[in-house]
This record gives sequence, structure tokens and C-alpha cells, in this order.
Amino acid sequence: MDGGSHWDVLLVEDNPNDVELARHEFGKNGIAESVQIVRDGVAALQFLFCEGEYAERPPVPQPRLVLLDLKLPRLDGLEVLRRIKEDPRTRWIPVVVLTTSNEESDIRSAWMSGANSYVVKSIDYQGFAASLRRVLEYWLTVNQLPVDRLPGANP
Amino acid sequence: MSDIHTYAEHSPDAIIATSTDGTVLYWNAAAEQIFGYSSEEALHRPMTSLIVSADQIEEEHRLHAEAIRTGSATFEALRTRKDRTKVYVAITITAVTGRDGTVQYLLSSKKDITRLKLQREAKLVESRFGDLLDSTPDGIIIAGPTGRIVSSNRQLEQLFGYDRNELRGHFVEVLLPDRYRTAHVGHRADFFRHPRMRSMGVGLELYGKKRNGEEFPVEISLSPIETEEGTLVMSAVRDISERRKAEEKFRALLESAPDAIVIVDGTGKIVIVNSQTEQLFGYARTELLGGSIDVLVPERFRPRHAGHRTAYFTDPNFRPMGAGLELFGLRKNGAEFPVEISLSPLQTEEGMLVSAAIRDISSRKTAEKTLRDRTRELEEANRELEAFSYSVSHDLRAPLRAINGFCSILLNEHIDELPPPVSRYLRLISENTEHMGQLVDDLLTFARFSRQPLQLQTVRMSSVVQEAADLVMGVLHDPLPVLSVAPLPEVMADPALMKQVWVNLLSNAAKFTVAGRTPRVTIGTAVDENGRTVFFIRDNGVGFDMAYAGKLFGVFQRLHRPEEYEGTGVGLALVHRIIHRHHGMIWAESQPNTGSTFSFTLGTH
Repeated sequence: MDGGSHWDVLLVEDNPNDVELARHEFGKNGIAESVQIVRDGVAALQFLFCEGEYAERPPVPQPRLVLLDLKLPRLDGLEVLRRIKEDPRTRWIPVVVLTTSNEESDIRSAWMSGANSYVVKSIDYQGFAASLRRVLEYWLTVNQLPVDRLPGANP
Repeated sequence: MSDIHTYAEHSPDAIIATSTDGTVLYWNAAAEQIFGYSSEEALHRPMTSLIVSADQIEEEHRLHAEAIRTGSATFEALRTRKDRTKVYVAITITAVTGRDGTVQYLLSSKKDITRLKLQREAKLVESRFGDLLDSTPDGIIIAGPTGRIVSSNRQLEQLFGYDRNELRGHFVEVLLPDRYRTAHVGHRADFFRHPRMRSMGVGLELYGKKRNGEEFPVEISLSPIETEEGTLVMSAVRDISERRKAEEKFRALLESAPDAIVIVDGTGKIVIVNSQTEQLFGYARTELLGGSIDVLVPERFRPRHAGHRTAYFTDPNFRPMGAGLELFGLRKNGAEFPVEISLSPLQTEEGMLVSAAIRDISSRKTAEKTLRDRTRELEEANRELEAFSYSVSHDLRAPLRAINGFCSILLNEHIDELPPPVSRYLRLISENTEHMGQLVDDLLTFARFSRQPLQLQTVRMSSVVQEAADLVMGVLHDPLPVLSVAPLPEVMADPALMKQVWVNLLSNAAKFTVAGRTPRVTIGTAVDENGRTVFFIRDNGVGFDMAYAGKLFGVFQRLHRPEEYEGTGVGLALVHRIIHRHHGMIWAESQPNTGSTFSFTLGTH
């Protein structure tokens, strides 16, 4: 993995159990230190746009991957996804929707809003763990991003 | 004088002596005979009050005066009998004077010339009209003021069953049923007082009586004929038995109609109503007939209604009234109710009429409203169910995933640290959460297939079964069932739902196998007693007790212990639901240990 920078991954997840399980898997994949976890949609946008609670965060580098739950307090996941994909500063960031829902309507909305992938959190934990491992592997190692990780912002 | 008296007593003519003021002084036997009053009844009474009807008093006075002035007067006149019948008499009045030249009394002789007059009239009529009368289609009868028949044509004689000229001289009442005779005498007199052409007995049902006593309905028109012999009346008589029968048929038809039927004329006057109208609007028939249709129309519609009615009469055709409008009727008690009205023109002898068939649609309106309300409630319930399913899919699964996740981590990463019972219990916890996850998923599938709209199209059932079989066989373990599928017809159905039906039925057939027996599954069709195609799937598995057949298709209903056969009990419930949505039926027959047959029909093809 490309070390050196913090916040390779932003996990947006409100369920503490899911947070705990995800952390466990991040640990097993050796990236526990480079994952930022936020607990609702508003916090996710503040983090990415360096506002509010995260006003002090330098805008560079942005995470290489956002793992986004759909059902979130305050601002729901689809809206967060839309804001990310609308803004030139964040449009390029890969967003993988990670959700319990296998409703056709949710899958369709996520794709139409610009999701880069849609992964269902199954009850079968081993299956879920395997999916997550593959997601991390692909987006953090296989996938190639611009070096400055700020391709959208025009200085 | 006594000779004269004797002569007077035996004279065939009435001999009456009156004082100059008209009081009867003498009344002979013939007068008794001709006029019906006895001498005792007549004496000392004014003659005019006895035998002169009101309209002839003036004439009588004039002639009286003439006799006194000139000594005598001669004339023919109608006089009235005690029984009110008329008699035609030739009268000679002679003034009898005393020696001083003053008139002592008046002596009048009255000869009954009714027969004679009748013969004169008959001769006159025949010479003037003769053949003309026989050439008219109606029966014709001519009578004079005495009410006696002067002449009748062949048609009339045939109609009433009399021989040629047999009726002459009889009172016309001989042609009437007894019950009308007395009244008719009065009507006859009225006619001669104001003779004009008109129909007899307007609004009444008239009957004639044949010689053999048989009665039949008639229509009669009257017209006066002025002749030298005075006024006669000609009656044209038409047998309306056929028309009356047709009317009765029409009325029976009206009564048998389920709707209230109101027939109006061009002025909006009600001509005919049936008894359904009485019931629907709360009026008695007599209250409606002859009145305005307005009484049945709520006041706010009346002005417009009059205009529409006029327009309809100018362009009459069969059509519903007020297309697209809400129409209301008005009951006698003031209550309004929604109606549907269809109009049709009726050509009749009285001109054009319009028949309105009125149907009370209150119950339909109520039903429609109930249906609308129910639909709205159902849509609301459906939306709620959708929201519920959605939140179930998230909220119910999340804790299961957490439980399973932590168990899984313990089992996979800390197995060495766990005493054997702990790891066994953890595995059971994990299996249970997965089973519950399956229940939730199946329930969601059930809800989804229950509410998603049917996409009906022509479906090749053979292909659908093949796809379903591939899917089911792919996940089965040995021994794989031997599947034989007969050729299947095309149906109108939702292909995705049909596939789900076969997947579930095949899984079911393949699941309940008997150990050591090669599972066999047969799919085919039969035809039921109504000619509908019945699809069936038969297996040679464990079957079930028919006593529990009713529970087969309920959600979460299972007939076997979970450790024998896995499953959530949703599969057949879903099949049942889908078949129902296709307006079909599904049923199962079985013998334990021999096998089961599931059969279904579709109502959509």
C-alpha cells in the first residue's frame, strides 16, 4: 500500500457494530491507521470539503476511497453521494456504496448518482469479509489515481 | 159535455186542459199513457214542470201565447216523460173562450209521433247518406233527440251482432252494458243541449255490449247532423279490443321493467308511469298522471330541464340523458337521489311522447365510493408495507449481521482459546442468525412479488420450466431427481413470476425426497371439467397428510420438522400468492410416502 499519507479510506457508517467489524477487517488488511471513520452524512461532507469540525484539515490529500452506507442520520447516503459527484473538487474520488439494502430501487439510485461500485453487506460474515478485502485490494492497490490526488481543483 | 168527456177519455191522443197560466185542469188516460204521470199527479201542477224540459219552456210559452192570441197553434215538439225519456209529439193547442170572449182555458191534444218521426228521419238519413255510411270502416249509428236509433250501418250491426235494420227504434242504450245505461241517458241529453263534434267519454274506458251480452272496449266519436227533421247525432264506433290488448301488453312490459318508467308529452306532462315510479319517487300514480315532470326534478335543475326537453323533442333519439353529468331525482319527501336516465321517443296517436327509464344508482354510487375509499386505503397500506419492507431489510438484518460477524470472528480467529461447548454454541448462534436472515429475505421476496405490478405477456411455459429447472438443479446435491416435462402450452402470464412459481414448486418437489429412492419429478398438463388447462408437478417424495393440506400455502407454515427438511415455509405461500394474482387456483394432493401432486390453473389466458 501507498503509505505516508493518512486517510486512505473514509468510512461513512453510523452502526457501531458495523464500525467495529469494519475496523477489525481493516486491521487484518493492515490499513487500520489510514481509515477515517465518520458517523453521519453531514460529517462525511465536512470532512471531504474541510468544513466545520474538519476546517483545519488540509484539503490534500483526499482519501483514495470512500466506503458509504446509504442509511445515515442527518443526511442520507444517496445525498452525500450526489454532493460528492457534483463537486469538481471531489468528483474523482471513488465511492463504493456498502449497504444492507439489496432493494432494486436503491441499487438503481446509487448507480444513477455516480457510485463507483455497489456492495451488499450480507449476513454471512465470511462472505462480507471476503468482499471487503477484494474492494480494498482493488481500489487501494490495483486502481491508479492521479499522483497529486487533486485533479479536479483548479488552483 | 159528458160525450165530449167520454171522447176525450178514449182518445188515443193525450188531451190536456190547462188554465191560461199553464196549470193542468184535465189529464186524460192517453196523457197518462204517453207521459207516465197519472191524472192525480198531473192535476193542479204547471204543465211545464211535468213534461217540458228547461230548454223548451220558452218555445212552449211562445206557442201558448200564440194560441191565446190567434185561437190555436200547431207544432211538433219533444216532450219529457216522467221517466225522463223523450217523446216526440204533434201538438195542437186550442184556446177555449167564454161568452165574453175571454179565454177560459186551453185545450191541447198531443199525438205521439215518435215512431213516425223516426221513420221520416230514417228515410232522410238513408236518402242523404245511404251508401256512404256502409262504406266507412267504423260502425256508425245515428240517433235522434229521443235517444232512439234512426239508422245504423252494416259495420255497426256486424260489430254488435244484430241483423240489418234490427236496431231501428231501439234506444241507443241497448248497445251499452247495463251499468252505464242510466248515466248515458243524462249524457245524451247534455249532448243535444250543446251539440258539437267530440270524442265520447274522454279519459274513460268505454265498452259496447253485443247482442249476445259480450262486452268489448270501444272508442266513440260524436258529431251532430243538422237536418230538416232537427238535430241528429252520428256516432262512429270503433272496436279497440286489439289496441287495448296491445296497450295491456305495453303496460305489462312497463311494469316488468326494473326501472321506473315515466312517459311525458311535449309539454312535460306525465302521461304514463309504472309502479316502479311510484315506489322510487313515493308518489301515487294518480298524483303524477297529468302533472308536470318537474315534480320529479330537483328545483335547481328545472329551468335547464325544460330547455333540454324542448330540444329533445325537436331531435328525438334513443340516448342516455345528460351524458357525463350527475343526475338527481326528487322524491315526494324532498329527498334527492342519484339517477341514471335513458330516453327514447315514442310515436303514438296522441303525437310524440318521450319515455324515460330512470334507475336509482344510489347503491352503485355508494359502492363506487366505498371502492374508491378501499382503493385509497389499500394504496396507503401498500405504501406502508413498502416502507416497512424497506426498513426490515435494513434494520432487521443489521443486528443479525453483527451477531453473525462477532461469532464468526471468534470461531475463525480464536478457536484455539475456546472450550469445545463454547465453539459449538457459537456455531449454533451463527446458524440461527443465518436462518433468520433467510426468513427475512424470503419475507421480503414474498412482499415484493405480492405487490409488484403484473407484466402480462405471452409466455412459453416450456421455456420457463426449463429455466427454472436449470436454476434449481444447479444447487441440488445428489441424488439429482429424474425430471420429465411434457410439452406445455403458451399462457398469458408475468414471466418473472411464473419462473418463481416453477422454481419454488421444483425446489419443493426435489426437497422432500425419500432416502434410498430415486427422486422422480413429472411436469405436465391436464384439462379440467371447465375446459381449462391444469398444470401439475408430481413427485415421488415423502408427501404429506391431506389433513394438513389447508396449511400448505400459509406463510411460515411447515408440515415437516426443520431438522428433516430445511426451509422457511414461504415458498409455497409465494406460489399461492402469484397464482392468485393470475386469477388462478392452486391445490395439492398427496399420499404420505408415495408422493405429492401440485396443480394450478391460470385465469389470465
